[in-house]
Amino acid sequence: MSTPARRRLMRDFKRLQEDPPTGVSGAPTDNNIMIWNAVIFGPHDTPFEDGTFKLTIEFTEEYPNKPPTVRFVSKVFHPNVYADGGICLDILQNRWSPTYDVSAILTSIQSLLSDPNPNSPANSTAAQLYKENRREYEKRVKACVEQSFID
Amino acid sequence: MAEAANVRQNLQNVPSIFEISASETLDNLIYPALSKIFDYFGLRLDFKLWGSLRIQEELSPLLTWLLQYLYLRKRASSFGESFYGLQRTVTTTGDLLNRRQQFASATLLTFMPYVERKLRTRITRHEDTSPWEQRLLSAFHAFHAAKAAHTFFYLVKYASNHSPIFRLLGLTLRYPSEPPKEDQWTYVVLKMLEVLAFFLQFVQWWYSNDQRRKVGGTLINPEAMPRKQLPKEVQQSLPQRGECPVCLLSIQTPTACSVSGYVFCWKCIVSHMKEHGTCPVTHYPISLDDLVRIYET
Repeated sequence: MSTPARRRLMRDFKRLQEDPPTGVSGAPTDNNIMIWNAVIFGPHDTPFEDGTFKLTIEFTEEYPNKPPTVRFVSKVFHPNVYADGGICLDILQNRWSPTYDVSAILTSIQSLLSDPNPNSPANSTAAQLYKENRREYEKRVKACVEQSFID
Repeated sequence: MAEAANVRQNLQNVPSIFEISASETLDNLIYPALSKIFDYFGLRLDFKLWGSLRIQEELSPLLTWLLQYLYLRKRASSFGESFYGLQRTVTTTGDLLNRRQQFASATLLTFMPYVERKLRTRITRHEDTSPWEQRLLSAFHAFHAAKAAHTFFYLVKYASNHSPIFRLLGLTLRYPSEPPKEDQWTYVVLKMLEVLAFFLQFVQWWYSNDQRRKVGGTLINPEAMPRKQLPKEVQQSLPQRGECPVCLLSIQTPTACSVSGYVFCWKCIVSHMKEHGTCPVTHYPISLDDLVRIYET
């Protein structure tokens, strides 16, 4: 059946294929358009460079009026990423807008990797290291980058 | 001979229906004039005074009440009645008003029109009105009919007061037998308020001119409202070929959000507004009144 959410998701997928943004990609799973798999490549000139981080995006029938649930599958050491892969990002919560499509969501998450917000930490260890011991923070990040190669 | 003189005295002391009608018209002008003044200063001060619009709506009737109460206390008449030299007296004794009658007069004079205005506004906006509101509006209709009947009886000298309110309060209108005794300060303040009465007439004339200009006059080219700076991701997400920003498909039943200027499908913008109360693109607060249907020819 075709619902507004599914029609919108097919539109998002089409836009993602026709005009792919740099460093991110995504596609629905084979049997369910409401669940997507995505990959974000670590931004250049950041400790995340060369990393390939996998994510899942779960949509509901309320999309685009409600944001999807986005989680990292790969291990990510980042102040705003929870241990279970959940992401603390304002546009996925209170500042959501239906004008964000999947491409914009992934691009925003990629930007979050470059510019953490340590004031609303999801990972207190990462937030503390990011503020007090940048060298150790980058070392931990590089470790999870190497881990992402194996996944 | 003495009887004839007495009859002439009585006739001279009773105001005509035209003066009463004129004084009521002047009283009814106070609220729209105050609202117009607030609108003017509100627009000049700050465009985003949006939140205090409710305060303005309640401030005008409150100021109106204060004005009327001041006149009733000092001159035993409403603002309009004082302007035409009338005075309220107790029907049976001919005495001036006591404190309770002053308060009741000011309150009825101000808040009955206020409540009626609120009711009519809600009905014209097609808001869901409860049964008691319908009954209250019917009561207002009945009141206006009773007032018309009273006016007719007063016109043919059959009744001593011209309004059911006056009958309820036991009051009547007369010319004062002697000029009011006031101290200097009160005299100055009331004189200034009488000058304000001329200003009210001017505001009404100005408002009529303003409306006439809006209808048929030449429009000065207004400056375009500045476009809100959107986050980069939103700018990139917005459709480039005129699709709806929410569903990204061709727009069905085009509807503009007058707060932000963006155009959406009717279904998309209404469902989003009912849930969030904001524009999907700019997050500005919006209501149903801000949506404008766009027709294609």
